[in-house]
Amino acid sequence: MPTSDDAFVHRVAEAIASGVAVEAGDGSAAIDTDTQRLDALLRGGDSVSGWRLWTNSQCLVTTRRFAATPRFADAALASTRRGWPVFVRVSGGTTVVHRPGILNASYFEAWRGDGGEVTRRFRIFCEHLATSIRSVGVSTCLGHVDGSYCDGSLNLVSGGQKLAGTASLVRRRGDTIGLLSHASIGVTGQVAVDVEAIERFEAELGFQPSYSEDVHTTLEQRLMSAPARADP
Amino acid sequence: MTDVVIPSGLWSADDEAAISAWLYADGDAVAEGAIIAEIMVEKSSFELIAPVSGTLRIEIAAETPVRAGAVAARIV
Repeated sequence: MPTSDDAFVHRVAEAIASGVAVEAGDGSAAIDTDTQRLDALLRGGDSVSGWRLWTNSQCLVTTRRFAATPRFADAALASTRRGWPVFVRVSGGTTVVHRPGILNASYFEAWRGDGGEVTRRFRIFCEHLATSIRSVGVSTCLGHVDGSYCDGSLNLVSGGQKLAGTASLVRRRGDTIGLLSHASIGVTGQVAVDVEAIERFEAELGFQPSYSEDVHTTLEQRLMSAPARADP
Repeated sequence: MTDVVIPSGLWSADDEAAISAWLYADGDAVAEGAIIAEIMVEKSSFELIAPVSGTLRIEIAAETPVRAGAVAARIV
């Protein structure tokens, strides 16, 4: 598996999970690896629990809900022609961006019994990421960001702007519950370009997205603009 | 006829759950073990599995809030 060559991405990855190599993925195969690894874990492959850190080639990643809409094929083709091929993931939310300056952090775990553990474990994952990001010098908290794409209550937020979206996928096989927790962390790159690509795609699906580039940021931007600003 | 029931014990009763998408249409043939719908709780995705093979009859439309134990569909 090739590895990413972005030094800042590697620095963030090391803060999240020391010693885990950053895979440089290419499109849908990189996305599908997450669900394949979750399934392997549920089949009893305890060795695949833990972290996977990865980047991807430039693309949009949308949900099964959006892929089921009538205009999906045409919208995806148009997006591909603009340089943003569209792939489908199985975790929730709305459309997000993958590209080399975005670090994906996936964490795999499985246990027997209590499904009520899902929420608690997913929050622990998000809090670990927030702690990791603070360790590279960017103050971070968890919360909603109005006007952001794929918004949720456990975004990683810095200075009121969204650094990362988080989502999870739960699969149960018998009495074993498998949890894939995932985050896409903006490390470098142009968030305005990301927002435009998503808005055009979702508009062509027939939705009326209204995202603001001003509420998105990257770790690089935060370090350059307000390294000492505190978040609650 | 077999009920497809919203599973219990996977999220808190206080959380709002909804079927976000049916992955098969009403009347489609489904195979036992197939993932036929996704249920969203905030940003966590849970999957509804076909308990038997047969023809899917959807009882609860997509984007509708659901509670554990509700019959989301039937397979005939």
